[in-house]
Amino acid sequence: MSLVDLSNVVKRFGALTVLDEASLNVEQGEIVAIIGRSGSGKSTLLRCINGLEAIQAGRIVVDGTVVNEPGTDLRALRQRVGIVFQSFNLFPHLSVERNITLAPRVVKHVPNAQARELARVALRKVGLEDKIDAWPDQLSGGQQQRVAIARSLAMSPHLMLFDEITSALDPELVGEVLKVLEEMAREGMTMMLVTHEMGFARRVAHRVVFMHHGKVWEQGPAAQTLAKPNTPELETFLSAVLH
Amino acid sequence: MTYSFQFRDVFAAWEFLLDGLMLTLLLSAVTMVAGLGIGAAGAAAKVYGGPWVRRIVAGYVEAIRNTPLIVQLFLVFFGLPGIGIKFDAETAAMLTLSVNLGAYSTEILRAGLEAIPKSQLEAGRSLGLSGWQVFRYVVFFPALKVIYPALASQLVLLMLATSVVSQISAEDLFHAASIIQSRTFRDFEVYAVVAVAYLALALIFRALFALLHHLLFARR
Amino acid sequence: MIRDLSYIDVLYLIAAMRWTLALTVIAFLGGGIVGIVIALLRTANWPPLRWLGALYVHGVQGTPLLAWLFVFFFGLSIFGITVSPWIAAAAAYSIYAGAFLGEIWRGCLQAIAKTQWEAGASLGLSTAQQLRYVIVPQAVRIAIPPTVGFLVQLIKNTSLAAVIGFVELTREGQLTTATTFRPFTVYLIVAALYFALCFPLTRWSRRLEGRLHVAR
Repeated sequence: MSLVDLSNVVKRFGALTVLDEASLNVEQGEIVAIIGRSGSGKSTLLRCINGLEAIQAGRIVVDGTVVNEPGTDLRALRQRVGIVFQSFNLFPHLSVERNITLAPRVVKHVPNAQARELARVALRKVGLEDKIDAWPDQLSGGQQQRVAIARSLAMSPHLMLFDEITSALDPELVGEVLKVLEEMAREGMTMMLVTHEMGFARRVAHRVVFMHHGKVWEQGPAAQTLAKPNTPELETFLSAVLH
Repeated sequence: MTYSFQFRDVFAAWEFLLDGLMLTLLLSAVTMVAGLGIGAAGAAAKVYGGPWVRRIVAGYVEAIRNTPLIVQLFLVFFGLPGIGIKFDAETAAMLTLSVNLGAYSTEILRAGLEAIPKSQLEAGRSLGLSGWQVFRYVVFFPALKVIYPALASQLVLLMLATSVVSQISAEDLFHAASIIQSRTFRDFEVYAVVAVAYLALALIFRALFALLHHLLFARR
Repeated sequence: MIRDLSYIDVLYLIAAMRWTLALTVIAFLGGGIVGIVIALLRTANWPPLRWLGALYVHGVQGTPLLAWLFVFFFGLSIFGITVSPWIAAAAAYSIYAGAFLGEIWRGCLQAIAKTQWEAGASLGLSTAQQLRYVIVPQAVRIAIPPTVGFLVQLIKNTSLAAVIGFVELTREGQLTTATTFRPFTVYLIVAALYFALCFPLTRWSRRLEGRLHVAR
């Protein structure tokens, strides 16, 4: 069974249909890059997967849990599904360590000493072990984003969602964040990432999913799909982003 | 113990309530005009005045804003006659409320003036507008728009605060309540009725301010 | 009996400030509890709860504090309940302060970006945990300046309790005036004493606010 299974998902904001019967499967260990124009529904798709957005129709099953059912324990699901946002969303009133250990401590009741070790391990993975006692506003954007990744990793998720995590960064800081993702890819983490970094998608992703008008318009193996798109819409999109 | 509510006695004295209501409305209206006038002058003095003028205005604002209205009222109505200055209750009430609102609106209006970026003034100046024209055409409306919500709620608070003048026997709506109370002994009913009357006034004031806001700013 | 105003009277006035302060503390505690409830109601997800909170705030902010004092002090006696000025004042001021504090704190809660809630939720925190660990600690920081500012309003408004015979600073001023017939001096002193209480708080609130803006 797929780790993520979306079938005919419909999401509306008022009169605006953002997801229009979108369907997608993601297997354990797979890395899926989701591309598309802004407004094509790719971020919304990601946010539906951990229940941040409620859907109007269709069915979402993640890691054996039906997300869109009343009574679903979303909290339990979210402990297994990490998400990293475009705007980092670190907690500004907490140190780096506390940012990372907050959820392990209050959700999983990990003792303090053990939680600090957890933070250290997570920070090592993103190359920021020396920043464990720093505060978010002392870090660069790239460092903040890496802390945000570490914060998710500390919950030992089965699946990681990345929502345009390099879009708010200065160009020279993008590389350090992508490097962390590549490292995670090597370790076999299942990842779904909404991204504008086509080179990165081709290099790291197993599969590329092109969203258009709220639908999964075209998908396939990364290198092949990006090199030889089947639909004119993807072709137009690619020629626009690859100038 | 059982108690049967008797609103009839209270409403039988509607003439008192109506007279009181008229004074409350009059007090509110006069005070708004005078207080906003003082506030406009105070704000202008604070923003454009020399250091001494600014200091004096600041002293006035702080003195008023850090002392209770009722004490200000007592000082004017009971205190000033002691040094030979006498007012009747209504005049003392209007004077005190105006001076009080003047201090609060000075601060609000000043914030409005300061909210307009310098670049706007420079743009106006560089087009050849005079100082007054810059104020009239560049500063006034945007500044008013910024402070409108604060100003509107301050004016509603003022209307409610006029009830304090009953304590120097000015015959406002709240004073009418005490008179009816002393005649009917329907304490609960009369204060409940008066509270609802103030609530209705506050809602009407808010609605009027909202309407005015729409008329002033809808197309800007 | 009329006698001259002496320094003893001034000392009595100063001593009466403790009841002003005591009433302020009670009002702040009572109002704080009501305010927390109102702030949570006003930010609740379920609309009827929000309406309930709005109804309370608009109701209280649309009526004079004086009316609440009178309703509790005179009004409740009709039910055969004798209400002391203390109880009446505590009840009236809690209701009044609760509406204003609730609005201030609601604003502070809503000033925290929605993305902070989301970040908490996506880590598996419950709504209560998001409030407790993520939102409230940040909201408290921005709530302090306006809360101190409201404290000044509260101190000034405790003067209205004088009208139901609660002996605090203003009432003590009235009593002193009655025996000395020196209303101008007495009320000037009373005003000065209020100023001495309020002005430092006003300055403090403004400084805190300035610091908050610098910190951003």
